[in-house]
Amino acid sequence: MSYAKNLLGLEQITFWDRMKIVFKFPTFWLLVFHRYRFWVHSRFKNKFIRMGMKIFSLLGQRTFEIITKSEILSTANIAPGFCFAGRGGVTLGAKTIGRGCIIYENVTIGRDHLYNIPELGEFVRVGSNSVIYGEIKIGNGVIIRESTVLTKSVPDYCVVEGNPGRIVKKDTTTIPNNEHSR
Amino acid sequence: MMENIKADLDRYFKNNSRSLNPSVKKKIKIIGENYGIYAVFVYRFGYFIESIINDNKLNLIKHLLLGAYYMLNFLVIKMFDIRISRKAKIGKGLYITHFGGIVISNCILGDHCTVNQRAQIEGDDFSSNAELSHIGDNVWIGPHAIIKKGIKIGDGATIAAGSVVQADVDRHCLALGNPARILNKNFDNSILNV
Repeated sequence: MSYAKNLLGLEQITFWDRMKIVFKFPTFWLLVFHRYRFWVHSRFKNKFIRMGMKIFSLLGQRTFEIITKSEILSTANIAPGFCFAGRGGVTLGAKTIGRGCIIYENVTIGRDHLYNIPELGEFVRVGSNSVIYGEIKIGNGVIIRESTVLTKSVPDYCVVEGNPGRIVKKDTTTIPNNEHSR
Repeated sequence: MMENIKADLDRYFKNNSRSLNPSVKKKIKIIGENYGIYAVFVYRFGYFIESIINDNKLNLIKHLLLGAYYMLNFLVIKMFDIRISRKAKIGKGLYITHFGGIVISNCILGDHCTVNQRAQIEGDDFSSNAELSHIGDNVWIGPHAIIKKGIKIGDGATIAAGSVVQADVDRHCLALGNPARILNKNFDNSILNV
């Protein structure tokens, strides 16, 4: 579980750790409801079955949207191992998100004026208060530091910083495990 | 008040369905999904109390209404994290996209504006009108943008995402960066600001 690894620092989890995650992080439930809705959308083609299945998740979805102040685009394809670090405030409108991404607080990922939305690679870390928009591709293992405004594509294993965002470091082949900060 | 609310609703319908008259089902869906519209409604209600009822005889009614307004405003702040000062003078057709972290303090906002999530317009309740920030019509304020107090922004200007505006912005300009500089002097924001 990504939450246990990234937020609690555990490699193996027991039942009580699982309970901790369930009750401690409301963003976890937001993700659960999003995954349920996405699964229903991809699994069932019949309109009425879809509606019937989605009605169960609607109330929970709305509740946790309001608790965490965050929204997720219903068509966003989020790979397993994703985690929201922090209390939320995320507006997430990406096309695809790769394995093992972490998104911190108050992040906006969304469209530009032509309705193009970004794609994130694997093991991307997006720092708090940053904005990513437009038709861009972010490579694997990219670290986006705090308060970045990013509108251009980034190759693999880079560190991005600033407003407007520019590449500060290249080829950081070792992904730092716990440290997002500089 | 009703005119303004109608204009606001029209903007929400236009932005979310690309037609002026969507079906009733679609309308209900739009109102349910966009939390910003509740904040706009509560703001209009608060401004209505302040502007219309200045009669001494109606003082009690005014205070009762103000009580109701404060309760609604508390709910909006706690649930959606949108703070709109009731002293702010906002023209008709305000569109708030998404929710969370939006602060519109006392300022003068024109018609047909868009405010995105986590945008902040600074100001205070006790300074005069000349000291506040003046924002024209058809202005698009991007996500995470901050506009300082006492800034003048012309009609049709665009404040890009994440910019911190510390100097005046002329008409039809595109401001970007921290501190904001003008990138394009003739930018058409009609695609953004539907």
